[in-house]
Amino acid sequence: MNVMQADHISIVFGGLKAVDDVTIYAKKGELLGLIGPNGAGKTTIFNMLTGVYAPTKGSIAFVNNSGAEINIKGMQPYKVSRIGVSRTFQNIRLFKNLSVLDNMLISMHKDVGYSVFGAIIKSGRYLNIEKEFYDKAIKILQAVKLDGKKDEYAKNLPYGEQRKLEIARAIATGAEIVFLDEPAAGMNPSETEELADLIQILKNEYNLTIVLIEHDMKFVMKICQRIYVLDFGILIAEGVPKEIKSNPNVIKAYLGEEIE
Amino acid sequence: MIFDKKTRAKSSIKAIIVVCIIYAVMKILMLPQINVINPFYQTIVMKICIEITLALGLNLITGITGQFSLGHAGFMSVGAYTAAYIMLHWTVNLATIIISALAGGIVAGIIAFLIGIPTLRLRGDYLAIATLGFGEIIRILIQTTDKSFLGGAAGLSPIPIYSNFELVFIMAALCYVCINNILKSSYGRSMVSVREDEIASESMGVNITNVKLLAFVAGTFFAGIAGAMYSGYVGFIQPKDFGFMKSIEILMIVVLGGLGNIKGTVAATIILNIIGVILQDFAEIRMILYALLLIIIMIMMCGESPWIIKMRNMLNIKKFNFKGRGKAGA
Ligand SMILES: Nc1ncnc2c1ncn2[C@@H]1O[C@H](COP(=O)(O)OP(=O)(O)OP(=O)(O)O)[C@@H](O)[C@H]1O
Ligand SMILES: [Mg+2]
Repeated sequence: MNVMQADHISIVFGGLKAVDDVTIYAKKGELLGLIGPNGAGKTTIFNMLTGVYAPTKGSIAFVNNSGAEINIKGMQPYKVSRIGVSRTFQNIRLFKNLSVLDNMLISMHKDVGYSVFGAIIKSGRYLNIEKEFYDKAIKILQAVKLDGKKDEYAKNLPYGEQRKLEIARAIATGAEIVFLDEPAAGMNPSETEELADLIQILKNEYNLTIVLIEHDMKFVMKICQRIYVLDFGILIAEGVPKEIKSNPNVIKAYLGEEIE
Repeated sequence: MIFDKKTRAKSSIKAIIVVCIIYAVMKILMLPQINVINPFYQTIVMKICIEITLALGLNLITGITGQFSLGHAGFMSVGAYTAAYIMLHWTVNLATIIISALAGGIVAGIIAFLIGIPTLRLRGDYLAIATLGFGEIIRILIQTTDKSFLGGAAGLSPIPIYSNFELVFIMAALCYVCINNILKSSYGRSMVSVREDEIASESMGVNITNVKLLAFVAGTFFAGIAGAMYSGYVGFIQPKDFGFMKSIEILMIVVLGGLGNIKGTVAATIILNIIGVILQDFAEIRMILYALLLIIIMIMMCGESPWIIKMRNMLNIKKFNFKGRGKAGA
């Protein structure tokens, strides 16, 4: 079953065709890679899939857990998020001046089950829901080994941990499909290796479908089950890692760069 | 964080005790025998309570949620005129006082809602422009309406003087508790997330328009109530009391106290009023002092509030670097 289906999507920025007639899909539980040289349009595709940009042409649909197909045309990002789609950002967008825990809790605000008045009088409902949110946040933080730093400001975490917190925050929305934009960027080789394991653990634990953009080929080839390759906004290849490595189009696009 | 009924009870009792102690101390200092707070100072104390309520409301909008409002005094005037109108037509008793104050807050909140719906959807400082315009429009509107209705430019009087220390103190304390508790809830967190990063907030499922609207309406509701108390405190209100400079004065308190810092707001209100009393004969110097303070704050500001940075860039002020000092020449 496809949980995400984007058909013939294109987007034009003032004459520049950043993404041109791209069709991609994700099956439930898949771990997909989206690769391509700088400026290929990878982040732009993520932005369309999460409702930040509306495609000039084409359609995007997600299938949620109850099997309903939802077309996200014209939906604002917060509504797209509420059908179970979440993401991280290439240039980390944490709430820097908030604690690690608060960063997590904001992802759950959409499910807040008490009123403003309930918050003011600290009603029984308020207590229960805050407790529920807290437990859920701590559980995810434990999975990314950040529970010990729950009270630190997000901006004070080392870079690698900020990336992890962003992934944890995306999962805390209750997402079924998560888009990770260069999760290993700026990490050293041992951190990258650890991240590869972590992503797989989280994927199994939370039944996620994951699509990730990454420039680290070793990382991509290791963990992705299927890979899309984009160049100048056009999809030039699709396949399992082995096929991608030997695809002449891909080698041409990456001429001079090593794919191993 | 508070999850169980026992900690909640403890924290509520603690809050009630703190409020009672402050009240008792003030009351004792006001006793004629002690006379530390003489009748003149009592009016200042009441003014402080009213301004705390105003500034806390604006802090919710500007400091906590990061939305620039330049018409807070306009919303105060809506509350003041609504309550004054009611009190001029009804007999004064505790029930009508409370009704008129709530009416003032609700009318201000409804107007904020109507202004917020179109402007808060947009990115950028459209709210600042709209509220600036609103503040002027409401002032001119009252000035030009028929004298028999709201008093016109000459002002509305005599409004029964019903505000007393108890009323304004309870109002300020309730306002503090409300905003403090909102801040500690999911609503407060979502407001701060909007200030920190709208795009991330939206991507995590927060309906940012609703969050901004909630902060704006709640903040102006408190401005309306404070306005109502103000009209029962001075007994005479005129449109020019609620001009642009009054809005800036409240903004000043919020900035000095620290954007998003509600304890700081209370402290700043008290300090600025004390300075005001000391410099009461030199009104111009006071405004210059305010401006200087504001610039110093922007240079020294440790918290990196987005619009402090924006203002700093606009005025081309460099942030003062504490760490860099000793290292000069190294
Ligand atoms: N909002 C925008 N307005 C105009 N042009 C844009 C916008 N967003 C992206 N582009 C352009 O679209 C193209 C694709 O950008 P995109 O960020 O998607 O690349 P990318 O594949 O993510 O690259 P990188 O690997 O460097 O992150 C670039 O030429 C970029 O300048
Ligand atoms: Mg990118």
